[in-house]
Amino acid sequence: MNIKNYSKDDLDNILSIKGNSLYSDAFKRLLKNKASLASLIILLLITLLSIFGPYLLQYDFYETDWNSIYLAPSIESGHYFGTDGNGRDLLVRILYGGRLSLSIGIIATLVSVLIGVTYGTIAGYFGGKLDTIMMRIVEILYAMPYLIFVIILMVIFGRNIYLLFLAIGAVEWLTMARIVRGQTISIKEKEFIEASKSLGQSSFMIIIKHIIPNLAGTIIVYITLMVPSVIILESFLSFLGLGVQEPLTSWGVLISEGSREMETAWWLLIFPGLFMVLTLASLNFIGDGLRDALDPKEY
Amino acid sequence: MSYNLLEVKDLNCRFEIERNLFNQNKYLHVLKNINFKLKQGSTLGIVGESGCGKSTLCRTILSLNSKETGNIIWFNRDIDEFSKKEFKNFRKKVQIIFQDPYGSLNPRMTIGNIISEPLEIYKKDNDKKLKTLKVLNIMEKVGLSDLLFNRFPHELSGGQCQRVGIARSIINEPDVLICDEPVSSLDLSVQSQILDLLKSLKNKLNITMIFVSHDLAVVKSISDEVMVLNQGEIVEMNSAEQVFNDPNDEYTKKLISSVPRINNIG
Amino acid sequence: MEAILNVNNLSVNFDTSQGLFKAVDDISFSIKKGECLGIAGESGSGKTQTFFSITGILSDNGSAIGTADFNDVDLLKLTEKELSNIRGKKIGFIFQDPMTSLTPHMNIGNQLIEVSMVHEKKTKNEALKKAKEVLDIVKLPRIENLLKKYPHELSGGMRQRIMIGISLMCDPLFIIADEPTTALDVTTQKEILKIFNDLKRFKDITIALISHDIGVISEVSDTILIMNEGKIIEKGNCQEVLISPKHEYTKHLLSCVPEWMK
Repeated sequence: MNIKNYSKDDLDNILSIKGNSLYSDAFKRLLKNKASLASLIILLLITLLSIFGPYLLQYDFYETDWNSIYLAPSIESGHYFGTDGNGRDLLVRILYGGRLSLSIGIIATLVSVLIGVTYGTIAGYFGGKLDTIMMRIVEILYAMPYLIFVIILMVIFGRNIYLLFLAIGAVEWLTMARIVRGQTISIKEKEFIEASKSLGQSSFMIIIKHIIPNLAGTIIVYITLMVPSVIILESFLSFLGLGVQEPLTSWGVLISEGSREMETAWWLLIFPGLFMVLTLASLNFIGDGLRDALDPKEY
Repeated sequence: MSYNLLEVKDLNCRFEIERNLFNQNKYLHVLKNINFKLKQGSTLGIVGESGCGKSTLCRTILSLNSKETGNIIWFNRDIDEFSKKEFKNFRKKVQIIFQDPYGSLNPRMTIGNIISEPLEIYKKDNDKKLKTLKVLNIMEKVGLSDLLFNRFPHELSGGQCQRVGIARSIINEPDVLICDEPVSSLDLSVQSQILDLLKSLKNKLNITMIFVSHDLAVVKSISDEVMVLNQGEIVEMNSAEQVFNDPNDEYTKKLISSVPRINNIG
Repeated sequence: MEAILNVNNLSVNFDTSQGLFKAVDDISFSIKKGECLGIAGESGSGKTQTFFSITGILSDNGSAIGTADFNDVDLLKLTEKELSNIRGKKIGFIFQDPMTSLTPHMNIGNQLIEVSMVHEKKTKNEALKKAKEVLDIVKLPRIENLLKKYPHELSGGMRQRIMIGISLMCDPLFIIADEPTTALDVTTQKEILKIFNDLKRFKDITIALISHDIGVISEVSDTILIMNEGKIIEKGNCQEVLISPKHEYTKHLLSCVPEWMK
């Protein structure tokens, strides 16, 4: 085949015209959805506050002050959200807790997505006996009470934040694997997969190039729903005393401490609760908006 | 001189439809004793109604389906004997175009990436600019504007998408092109454009074609030889002229007389 | 003969994210009682939306203006309730895909009698009697047996006949058939078209046959509308239009039909 050459200008011209991918279309639709947009902004604000807020405040999260125990929220004292039983500033503790809760949420979700997608696509794509065996394993793990699993891990390896990430991720990936497997099976039947196979593409590349990009929408939606559930799971473990250790804190820990003292110091429950509810609600709204945006009725 | 490129011998294919405990599985025989030879440079049309096994035949030739018994012979060698490398080469030389123009293109990939996929599979050391040029050349050949290079399938019309599918299948210069109902989901005027394109490509690139359709008119317009399939069996196989003007088999006669004609108004 | 349906200045608009889209653009036509009107056009020509708008089954973002007099009642001015009374009773519908228009979990008998029990308040026995009559008209064999079957047990051609049967349950005056044979094989297609011819001839039912296939239309229709981009390009007696087309687009459309099929 003799190849006609294009001048550099022509080539640049052709390559400069960009199409609208389905994802960029979906993102535009997401921004049109007011609830999702507001949620995105709130979430961004909370994240930025958690990361940079502690540097701007005059107190430290472990700094105890025996002269100001159970101070109610006030502007004059500089404890805008009040203080706890050890005289520690609540605002700074909430922001520190946010760092931890959000990062557990994100890291544990990423771990579960990574395991779940790999496992699910392999089971779904190859099918047959391999699929049966892999999915039976998932079902067996599902049947195991995860709390015992987490407690055993804690007992063996000691209490440790990284272990907490791992333990939660190891529990959550099961759901992901199931969802991904189901989606993979339906995508596998599409003609473009067959087309790629008939071109001689290897199975590995088909999964990477054709299946995962088409799964991405579903995965993103589930991430936004999984992050809140991970945050709640962490709160629950902290509530049981299996979570993070003092003086480190997370929203779950703060809420569980606050609930014990809510009759004397309401702010200890209300403020961390507010942050957590806002975050979870925002994530859920974004997930909802994403689902609508990725699956538009009109086309 | 023309020689046999591809030969199909006693091909049988069945699908399991029910499985019970005692191994008395029920099967649906989709293809029964299919035999034919494909001459280099010719076009074989395959007609039949839905469920007659015509798509299964295409897919079995390409080993996208498993077969029960029989041989598929490529250049006098059974493809079952091929090594992994030889099989990959076979895949490269025998290409397929599908019915659904949108469904056969990955919706998340740009047109340029879709067309260059075969290049990436077989020539990994090609430099990027050469690849782009090759894609642009082939796009011109199938009548696609080069402005579509970075577009996505959903931004194209059905006819344009089918052209993308054709471009992808011929970019590696195949010997055999299997067209599985390539125009069935297109409008009439687009149909004739795509058919003209296929005819001209066939002549220009010296491709041998297997053309499958339920539409007799379409098959007639493109084929040298026609195979009529009914319930997995070949009921008639002859030159196109013979089959359409003087069919031998009852089923073929019924099929041809069923086509609505414009001038006998009811 | 008097006209059963009189459509005047009908336009259909869709409100999409890319702005207002005009699917049908100011068209007028009429159908006489007992005749078959064929509507030909390529996909996106507005042929389906024309009839969807008349019977009030446009999707939510669509709106129709103009008039559509069916037996001297303007269908476009009726409320949803009044319309649903006419739809299915006086106007029958047949769609392209017979699998998706039948409920998969109900047997054929129940799907047939449901229509006349809802619309005509018939008793189960009366409805059953009617159902057998109807299945006889669409030439289905072994009716007793068939009534107990489920849609997935039937072939495409049989399902489409059931659909025609359902539309006949309430003795409609008018049947709208939207690409009724597109999903079927040619041999089955021929049988279905024969049923349409019988309905027209013996039952005096008016038919609007929407199809992209001019061959199909020419088998059944008396008059023909050629549509393109929401406008009527040409209308008239089917034979005359197809033999001596006046408009360029019609000529172009006919030139795409293979010589052998003429």
